[in-house]
Amino acid sequence: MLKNEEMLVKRSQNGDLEAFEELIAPYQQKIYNLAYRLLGNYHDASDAAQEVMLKLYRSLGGFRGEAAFSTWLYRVTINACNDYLLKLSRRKENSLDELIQTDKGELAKDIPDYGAIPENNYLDQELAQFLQGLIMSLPEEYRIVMVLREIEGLSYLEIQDYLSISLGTVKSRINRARRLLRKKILQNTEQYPEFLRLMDIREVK
Amino acid sequence: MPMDNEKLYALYSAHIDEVISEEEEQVLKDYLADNPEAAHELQELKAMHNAFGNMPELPLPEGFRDSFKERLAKEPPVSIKAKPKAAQRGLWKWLAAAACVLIAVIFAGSFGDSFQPLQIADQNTAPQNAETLEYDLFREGSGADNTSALDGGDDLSANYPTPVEQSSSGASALERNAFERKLIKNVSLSLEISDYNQTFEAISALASRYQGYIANSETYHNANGEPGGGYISLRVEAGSLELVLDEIYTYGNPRNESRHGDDVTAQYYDIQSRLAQYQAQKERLLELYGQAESISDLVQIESELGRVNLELDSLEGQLRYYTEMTDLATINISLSVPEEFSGSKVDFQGWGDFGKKLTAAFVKGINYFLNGIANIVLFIIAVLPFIIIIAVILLILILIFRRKRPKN
Repeated sequence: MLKNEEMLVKRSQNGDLEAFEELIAPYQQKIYNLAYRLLGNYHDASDAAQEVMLKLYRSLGGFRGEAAFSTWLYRVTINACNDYLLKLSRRKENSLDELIQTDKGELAKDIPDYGAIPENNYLDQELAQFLQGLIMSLPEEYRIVMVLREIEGLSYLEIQDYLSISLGTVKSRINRARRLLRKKILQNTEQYPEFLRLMDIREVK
Repeated sequence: MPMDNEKLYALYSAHIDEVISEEEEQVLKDYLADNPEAAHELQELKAMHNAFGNMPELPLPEGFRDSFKERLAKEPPVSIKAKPKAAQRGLWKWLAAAACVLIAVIFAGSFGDSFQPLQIADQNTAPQNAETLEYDLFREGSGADNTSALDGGDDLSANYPTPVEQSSSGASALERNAFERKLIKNVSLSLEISDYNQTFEAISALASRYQGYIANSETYHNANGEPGGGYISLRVEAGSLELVLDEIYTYGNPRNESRHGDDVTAQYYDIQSRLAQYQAQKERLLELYGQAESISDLVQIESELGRVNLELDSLEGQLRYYTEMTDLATINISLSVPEEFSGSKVDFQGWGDFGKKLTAAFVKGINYFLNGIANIVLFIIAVLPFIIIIAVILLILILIFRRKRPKN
């Protein structure tokens, strides 16, 4: 571990909020991205990513420097994202436009506007949206395994370790998820040739 | 040869994720040769895999950091509860177990010799104290049975995650049986010694004797200018770690020792298998390169070869790093020379250059004296106006006083 990081961990453990902000800053984007890929919208992803970081702060006392900080952080992040995902799926669908009922009348929900996210170019954006849609179409249990394997690039053993599921489960979830995704693409007959062409471009690149 | 979809997809996935065994690869190859539509399907899945892998990383939304800052500020202060270390917990467990067995043996002993097996159990349990448990950390296990990509079976019906699956020790046990474990071993110890230089030389010699080297060292000097302690980071062959430690302990008085092992088995074998896949891919590409007929084919293969070579270089570098880290163990030695050993020598350090020091002291004294005089003169000049004013006032007062007094 870097000396500096070690120092920041110690200071954060003593309740130094600025030190924690500095400590977490390099990881914020990674955490946010993981949350976004799992949840599929900016609002939930922002909320989840912040939730995860607060959880990291709260559980920092349990970090005793036995593994690298980044490894520990990744483990806590994946588990917290997974929990959030499962929690969200059980929760009743919560509409953003729905008004909050209070005794003083109805109130619109105060949702921060995080602005549009620029993608590199139109094709990237279109393909990324299509792929994100595919991920979101998967049941949660398959989704997390696929995101960890395909986007985070983790090995089977790492997924097994992080999610505490057996290697057989990891394998069968990945196999089934791929089968499901291919079916989805085939059902989407209009877009299918176009996206396959886009994917092929990636393969050669 | 017919194959059900489940099995076929397991093969596809193993192939795509590069965890396929040679036999499975052969089975897949044969199947694809007979079923062109399956080959097409695999191509599509590969394309999908590549597309996912190339998804862009999104920037943080605007206002994200600030909004997190606000939420963090509302957090109550963290309380750090020092959790008992695993080794200590383990020690208590074993002590409790040993105590139970002991009581049982005493109890059984009073009933005669028919309870022999219990005494044997006691002998087996007693040596398992914390020390041996810690040493277990570094004991390497090896096994020949490779986990196949297909052996996973289907346990999707199981609820997620089941309590059995959650046991992480079970997971690492599986890893241990499947591969030779790759551990990065670290030992930190502190030693009280009587002669720093002698110990340092002995440790250097020890390092070269065990094909190791001193990676890092620092020396601290005490008030007398002698080396009073220091820090040496030693790297030696992992296999001879215990021998080296035994020797180091004879150099002085050991204070404390801690051991730490990073298990990089999963990363190591993952890199190794990816490396093999890329090497195979490179061979195939080179073969294709030889057969290519059009310029565009050549260009495409060349660019693909470049990419594969880059991957190979990076993977080889990583593998070298892990190999080097696991082949050599690190010993961090903190050396200190206690007070009783240092500063007990008679020396005439203070008497060196006595003449020069004497002159310097004399000149210093004169300088102080001259400085003092100058300062007094400056002070008098500075307060002179006030003295004149005060003197004038006093003079007037005295004149008035005298005039008022009746003359005799």
